[in-house]
Parts: sequence; structure tokens; C-alpha cells
Amino acid sequence: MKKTNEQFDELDNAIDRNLLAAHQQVHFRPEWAEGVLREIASQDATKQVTVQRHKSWQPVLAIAAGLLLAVAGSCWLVAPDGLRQQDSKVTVASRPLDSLEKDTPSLELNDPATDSSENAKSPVAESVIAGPGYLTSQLSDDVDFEIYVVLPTINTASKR
Amino acid sequence: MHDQLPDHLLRVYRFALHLSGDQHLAEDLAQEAMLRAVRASGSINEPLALKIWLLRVVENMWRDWCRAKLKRTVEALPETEIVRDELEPLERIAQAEQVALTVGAMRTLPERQRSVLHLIACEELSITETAEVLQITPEAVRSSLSVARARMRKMLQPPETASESGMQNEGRET
Repeated sequence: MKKTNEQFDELDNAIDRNLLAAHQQVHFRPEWAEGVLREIASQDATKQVTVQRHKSWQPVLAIAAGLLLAVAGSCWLVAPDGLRQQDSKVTVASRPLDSLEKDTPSLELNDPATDSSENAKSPVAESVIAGPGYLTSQLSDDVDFEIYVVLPTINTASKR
Repeated sequence: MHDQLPDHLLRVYRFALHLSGDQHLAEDLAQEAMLRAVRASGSINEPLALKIWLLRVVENMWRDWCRAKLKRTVEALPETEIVRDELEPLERIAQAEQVALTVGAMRTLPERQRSVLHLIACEELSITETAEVLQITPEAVRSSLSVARARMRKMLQPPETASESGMQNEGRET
């Protein structure tokens, strides 16, 4: 004898009821659930704080970026002038030196960091005003200048 | 959306337990699913979407866990062994004989059919929602449900009618 659809439905419903009854008897451990809920709350709080921080930092970062741009721009405007002045001094100072020693770098003679003598600290333009004879006379009397002239020559020799 | 999450905790845990059959693993799966929901809170707005989303995450994590376990262990667990272990917690707590018999019959079903039956009978999801959770087509859900019900009926029908109906109760009459 074949079963009718109604009988199938009854049996299916009974199966579903039993499964649901078993399902509803499943419960988690309360201490585990509390831990999970705490974790959710803490994660949520962290997320909200992070979002708020991002929001509050945005204008600060924008201002800082603007200031940096302004400083960088002013440096860019100022730096070429300074470099231009330095370049002009080097160029001027190299003229009398070139006449004495072509292989000698003129920058070393005018660098205050490497030259502690009074001549090095004095304005280079003085040598220009005095003419080529000025440095020649200074070199003959000043030992420091002799050392600075000789050192590059030694370096050039060692390369060869 | 976070206010609704605690309401889903039991549901998520039950589904994780249904899939894994292990209390500790179910706790881990459920907890991770809940935390992922917190992190993805911006993209889920509707309560129904959250429910389906959570169940799907548990389903995906369970699949990942099974794959990882199969990779880890040299001796891969046979499907029948997974099926036997999965519903042990349900079986332990089932008091009534009929309930125990039903749960026992359900555990013999293949995993897909069990999940379909669980989501429809216990979570009361629709065919479409079940398809979304399991990431299969509604037709596949209907097919799995039909086969699962037929097998359950065959196992649970009264003894006096079992011999009479034979294989005829595999499907409905048209």
C-alpha cells in the first residue's frame, strides 16, 4: 500500500519537530558566551575609538602636511640664493688658485671646516681685490696653505 | 548592528555544533564568526542578512577547518567517521526516544543533506536562504532536501509499514 502525500507530510513534520526539539536543547556554556560577548564589546569599542581617532587626526594631518609644504617651498626659494652666493665665491676664489696650481681644488682652500687658518676665515674677496700676487705672498709665508696645496697633489699621485 | 549580535550567538553556536559535533570546536567557530561580524559591521545592515551572513561564515570556516585537518593529518578522516562524531552532542542531550531516533537517523545522512535539513528544520530558513548559506543553487537545496527527507522517512517510519512500502516511500507520489 502506497503512502499518501498527507502521510509523508505528517512524517516530515514529525521529523522536523524532533530535530527542532533536539536543536533547542543545545546550549552553550554561559562562561564561554560571556567571554565572547565581552570580546565583541571590546572589539566594538576599539573599532569606534579607532574610527574617532582617524576622524580627529585627519585635520591635524592636513595642517601638518600644509605646514610641511610651506616650509619645503620656502626652503626651495631660499636655497638657490645661498647656493648661488656660494658658487660665486668659489668661482672667484678659484681664479688665483688656478693660476698657481691647476690640479688643486679651490673649494678645499675656502672651506672653513677644513681650514682653521685666519686666511681661510677671511673673506675670499680680499684675495681678488689684492690680485694674483696676494695668494702667492701668503703661500710663501703660511705653512698651512702649503699643506693644503700639496695634499691634492699627493692624492693625484696615489691614483696614478 | 552590534546590538543584534548577541541574539545570534546561540544560533551560530548551534550551527557550529551541528557541523563540527565538537563543543570546543563549535565554540571556536562561533566566536570567530561573531568577531568577524564585528569587523564587517559596516557591510551588514539588515537582521536577516546578518543571520545568513553569520551562518555562511560558520559554514565556510568549517569547510576550511576540514580542509586544513585533511592536510595536517596523514590519515585523512573518512566521511563516515566525521558523520558519526558530528551529532554526538545532540544525541547526548536528546531525552525522548523519538528525538534520539530522529537525530540518530539524521547523522547517517551525507553532510550536504544534513546541513540542508538542519537549516530548514531547525533554523527555519527558506530554500533561497539555505542556498545562500551553503552557497549552492536553490535547485540543489531542493534536491538535497528531497533525498534527505526520503531517507529519513525510510529510517523512521513505523516497522509495520516499512515492509509494506519498501522502496516506494523513497519519493512522493505525483
